[in-house]
Order: sequence, then C-alpha cells, then structure tokens
Amino acid sequence: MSKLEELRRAYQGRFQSWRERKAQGQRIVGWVCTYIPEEVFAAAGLLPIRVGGGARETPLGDAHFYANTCTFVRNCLELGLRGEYDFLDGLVTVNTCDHIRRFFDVWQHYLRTPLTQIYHLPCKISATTEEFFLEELGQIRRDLEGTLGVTVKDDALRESIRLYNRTRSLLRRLYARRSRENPLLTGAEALEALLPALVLPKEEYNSLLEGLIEELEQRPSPASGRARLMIIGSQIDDPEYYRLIEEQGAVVVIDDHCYGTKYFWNPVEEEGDPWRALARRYLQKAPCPHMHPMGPRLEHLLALARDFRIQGVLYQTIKFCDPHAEVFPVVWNAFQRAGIPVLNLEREYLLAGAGQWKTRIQAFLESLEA
Amino acid sequence: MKGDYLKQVVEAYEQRLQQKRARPTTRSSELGTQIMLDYFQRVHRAQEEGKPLAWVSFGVPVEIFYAMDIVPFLVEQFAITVVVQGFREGKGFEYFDYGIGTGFSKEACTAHIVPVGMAKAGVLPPPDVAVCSSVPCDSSLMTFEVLTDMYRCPSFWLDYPYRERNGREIDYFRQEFADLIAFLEEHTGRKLDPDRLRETLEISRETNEIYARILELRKTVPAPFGGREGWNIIMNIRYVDGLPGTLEYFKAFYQETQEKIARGEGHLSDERHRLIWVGGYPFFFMRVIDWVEEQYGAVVVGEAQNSVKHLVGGDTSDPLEFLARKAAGFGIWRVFRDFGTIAPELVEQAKALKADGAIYFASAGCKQGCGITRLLRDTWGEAAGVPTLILDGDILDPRVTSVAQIQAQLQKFFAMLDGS
Repeated sequence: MSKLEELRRAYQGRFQSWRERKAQGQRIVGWVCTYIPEEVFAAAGLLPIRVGGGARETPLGDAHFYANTCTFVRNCLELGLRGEYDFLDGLVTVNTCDHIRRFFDVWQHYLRTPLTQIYHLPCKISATTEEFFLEELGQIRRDLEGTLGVTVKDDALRESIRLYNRTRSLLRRLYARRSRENPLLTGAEALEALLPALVLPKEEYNSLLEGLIEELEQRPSPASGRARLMIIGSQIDDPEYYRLIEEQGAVVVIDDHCYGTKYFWNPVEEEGDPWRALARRYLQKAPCPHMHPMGPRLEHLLALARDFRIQGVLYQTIKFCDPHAEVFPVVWNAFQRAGIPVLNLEREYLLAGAGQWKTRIQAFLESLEA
Repeated sequence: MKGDYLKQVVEAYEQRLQQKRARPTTRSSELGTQIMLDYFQRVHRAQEEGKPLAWVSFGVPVEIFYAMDIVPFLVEQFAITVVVQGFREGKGFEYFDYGIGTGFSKEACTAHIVPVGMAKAGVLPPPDVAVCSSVPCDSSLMTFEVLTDMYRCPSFWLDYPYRERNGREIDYFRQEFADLIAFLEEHTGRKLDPDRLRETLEISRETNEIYARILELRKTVPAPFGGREGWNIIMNIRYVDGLPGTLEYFKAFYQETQEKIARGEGHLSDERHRLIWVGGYPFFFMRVIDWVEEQYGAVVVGEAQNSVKHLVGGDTSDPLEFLARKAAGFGIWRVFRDFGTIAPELVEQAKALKADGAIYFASAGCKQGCGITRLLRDTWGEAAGVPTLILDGDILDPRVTSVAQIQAQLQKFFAMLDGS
C-alpha cells in the first residue's frame, strides 16, 4: 500500500481510531481553529485533534443554528449533537470569527464536554497583544490543570514544540515538491497528505509523511504542463474540491487556508522561553482575516504566489463567511496590481454545485491561456 | 438622493428641532434632537474648520476624540440614516448594488454593504484616520479593511478582550487606549491634553451613571417609556458621550422619567405586554414599535444591549483607568461576549423587567447575532418563562421581509401571548 493510501485511510478512519485510543486511556481534546497552540495539549499528554464535519445532512445543526450560520460549523455541531464527538475530554477554540464564537456558545450549552473553553485571540500584532496572548496561554495551562488534572511542564512543552516543528518542516518539504516546474503531487493529493496531521499523534503522522516524501521522488509528475493555481479563502477539507478544479486542466500548487499552509507554515522558536515562543509564533503565523490591518497578509499571499509561480488565484468562500467574503475586494486589488487574475467562487462546506464550479473554472483557465 | 447627504441630514435635524420648539413636548426630546444636530454639523463642517475627521466603528469610545478636537464619524450608522431616508423617497437601493459591485459579500450585513457602496460612489466625507474595534462583529472589522483600502488612510484596530480575566483585561484596555492616543497624535497632529480628557471623562462618568439609573427605571410597571426612547438613549450615548449637551439630555430624560413614575403614569395607558427587543430594528419600519404599542398594548422595556449590566463609573483622575473600566463594563459592548458569561444577566434582566415576551429580530446579514437565536430563545424560555419570536428580516433591506410580512409574524406571536 502506498504511503498516500495509508494517509488517506488514516484520515478516513479517524473516528474509529480516536475511540480506540480513548478506550486505551488516551485523553483527547478537540480544537476548532489553527490559532489554538496544540503543543500545549500534547505536552500535557493529551491528543489534540481538529474537530471537523462530514455529515451529508445537518438537521440537528439546522435546528440549533440560524440559516446564515456557515455550513462548516453547522456540520461540526451536527456531528457533536449526534454524539460522534462524545469521547472528547475537551473542546477549545479562540474567537477567530463570529461563526466559531457562536459554535462554541451552542456547543457549550447543549453538549457536556468536560473542558469547554474559548480563548481570546487578539485582532492585531503588537507588543501589547503578544503579552496578553502569552497570558491566555497561561490560562490554557491553568484550565488544563484545573479541569483535566494534567500539568504542562516546560521541558515537555519544549519537546512538543520540537515534534510539531518536525511536522511543519516535513510539510514544507512536501510543499516544496509542489513548487517545482513539474509538481510531484496534485493539490488533491497534497490535501490528502496533510489531513491526517490534524487528527493523528504527530509521531505517527511524521513517520507516514517521511515515507510519502521518499515515495514521491520515485514517481513522475502527475501535473506537468498544467496551469498553476493558488487557492485562498475558507477552509477546505474535502479533496474532491481540488479534484474538481484539477480535472479542468489545472494544478493547485499552493494554498492559503486553514487546512493548508495556515496550519503549518511557520515554525516555533526552539530557543528561550517556550511559552513566549508559542505566543509569538501563533500570533504571527500565516495570518487569517482576523488579523488587522491586512497589509502583512497581502504581502504573505503575494510572496506565496511569487515563490510558487502561480498563474491564477481561486478565491473561494463558504457561504456566509464574512471574514473571507467581505475582504475579497482588498485581496483582489492586491493581486490585480501584481498582474495575477483572480476568480471569486462561493461554495458550501460540502461539495455541491459542482457543475457551476466546473464551468466557471473552465472559463477562468481559458482566460489564463488567452 | 444625490449630493451632500450630510447637509441633507443636518437640514432634516434642523427642521425637526424647529418643529419640536414650535410644538414642545418634553425638554429631553428637544435636547436629544439638538445633540444629534450638533453631531452631524460637526461632521459636516470638519474639513472646513480644519478638524481631522475620524471614521469610527460602533465599538469605539468617542470621548478621546472629542477631548482631542478630532471629529468622530460613525460611518456605519450614518449609512443607515441616509438609506432609510432615501427609502422614504423611493431611492437608496443603488448603494446596495454599488457595495456588492466592489466584490463585497452580498450576504454581508446591509449596514456594511451600504457604506461600502456609498464610499464607492464617493458620497461620504473622506476620513483622515479610521479606528475600528473588534466589537461587535467580523463584518464591522472587514468593512473597515475595505474602506481603509479604498481611502488609503491610517487605521487603528482597537482590540476588546473576549473574556474577563480577573482584571488583566483592564490592563490590556489601558494599553490599547494609550496606543490609540499615540496613533491619533501621530496621524492627526493633535496633542492630547490630559486635563481636557479628564473633563470629558468626568462628563461621561456622570452621563453613564444616569444612563444606568434610567435603565433601572424601566423595571417599573407600567413602563415609563418605550422602544423609541430606549433606542434613542443607546444611540445617543454612542455618538456623543462625554459632551455637556449629552449630559444635559440624560439628566432631563431621567428627571422626566422619574416624574412620570411619581405620577403613576406609564408610556401606555393600557400596558398588556412587556417586551425585550433583540437584534436591532427594521430601520425602514421603526413604526413597528408604535404599531405593537397601538395594536397589542406591547411596550418595549429592554433591548439586548441594555439587558446586561452597564458597569460604568468610578474615578476619572486616571483617565486611562477609567476608559479601560468603561470599555470592560459598557453594557452595549458586554453583550457581545461569549454567551455563557452574559446568559445569567440576560435571564436576571428578563425577570427584573417583568418581560412576558421577546422579539429577536434576526437580520439576514447578522451572523454573530443570529448565531444565538435558538440559544437565547431556549434560555429565556426555560429560565425566565419568556417566549421569544424569531422575527426574520433585515435591518435595512425591506425586500428581504416586507412590512406586511413582519406584521404577520408579529400578529401570530401576539395571538399566542394573548392566549397564554
């Protein structure tokens, strides 16, 4: 079995895997936003996992949310209300966006996860906000000790940081193989390779990823000569979206969303105080629209576009996602000035309206050739 | 509507003030109109008078600006005012189209689509600086990103800690306000006079203490005033806090309210229902407040923003400390915290107000508000016995839910209340 297939199966079997680990005594904390410092939870001996969706229909989520709540958190809540996450010892997030804030409120009220907390994520980077965020990390530590009876020692935290940095480094190496003239993997494959990072213990994941990187060097490029695209916007955890794009004759070589580079792009400093290093890294990582002003984010996006030699941008947003959908004009302006065309696409969390997407992407790719 | 909207709004307020003087009702009514006229006149004249104009979002305290002789302009609220006025003349919809035409989300809050559209059309006074807060919502922040990108003006982003942290949030606010002052000094050339700030804050302190006492008076049965006055005091304290005219207005309103209570006089002669109204109003149909009063004897005794504690007071000798404590305790902003923190206060207030019903106006573009419709309905229902109508609509766009549809939903709700 190829390493890619192993990774696919690891992700597909995640719920069973989690329950098995829990049955063996592993405590598990779910998180919802990439600004949550997983290392802290791992250092406490917990398994931090990304809470995601996957239900084909969301009647329970619909009954608890209004019509204008994004379908991602709606789907996550659906699984929570169905009991799919009843093994969780904790559910933690930050106030990244209104949908996540309200998802937290509803989850906390209707579900009885032992540790349920939302932490403050500053909306900008400054000396003041770094200090406050550092204190928030201290609050995480106190909550873990108070509610779950686990301690986070500095040495364990340093070890955890090194382990997570190894993951980040491996994922950067994987992505470097996408930056080549002839990418060694498609965007869909890259997403399939990344997804298990969010749900497995890092030691296991790193081993699989190392194997994949080796394997990739042995095979020809599956994406030579295709239009090189960047995908920006709301999170995508379904590789079918990428396949749909790539079947039209493109290859997605780089992304900026939180099931992509936002998760792993920046390492944590391994010298000095580990808590401050975490605060600094998480606050300053590849920014999301929560961070203001947008200038640094635009610079980062344009740098990615340049380094990966993209020809066009797919800017996709889940319906009702204000953080991404509303700032589209600002991102568009920046790419226009750089001479890079942008296609704006709206979607739901789960793949729907494939025909419309195909038509628009085809037209966009034709315009790139013109 | 074309041309100088500010001038039109100023003229509308001048006319309103003249009418109130010609046919006086209450002193506070005249004072309330005067302070809003003064506010719009300041904005209209800012450039001519050489004063920096600061676009500020809903969650930004205005006292610092007044103390520095910088003119604050609540651009979101102005857009609402202009478009609602336009609707009366059958116009205004073009700003929705302009806004969406920039690529701004069509599912955004209409109170944000419209200022983006107005900015695109070039009908807003250009800002010298922009200051946006992280309260109340994503849409406000993202709108200011789009606006500052359009105008290429310096911007400051005021961060509100999402949780109370045993006083650490006060220290954080202190630093935020110190940074805001430094930003304003750098980008406007104005220097803050600490004495003048203290004077402004002393007025704000007294105003807010009276505001809190007014909110207490709403618990009286019959309610001494209704939804229109309730909304006015929220807006007035946002636009013009810290100014002498504002204090005078609140003092007059408080006195009038106390006198009404002493006379045993209610806002309605036949008060049959006491409502909490959440989520803003259909601003194109503010008459809905009068309509429920006339049809059902239903008086609005509280809004979401006034249903959590308004904890503003203390010593102004340390201005940053006062500002920090005010930001942390201001009810209108506290309500946007996590639900678990404010839920007990919402329940306590519903009981204290003796509310027998709540209307949750679920505006189509309001994600953070609508996200807790079920939660609030269940909480008030279970813990306070208050039934909630989730009223679908939009705060600005009458095409989402018409006046007739709004009335039809309310009719059914009151039929249920009357039958219970």
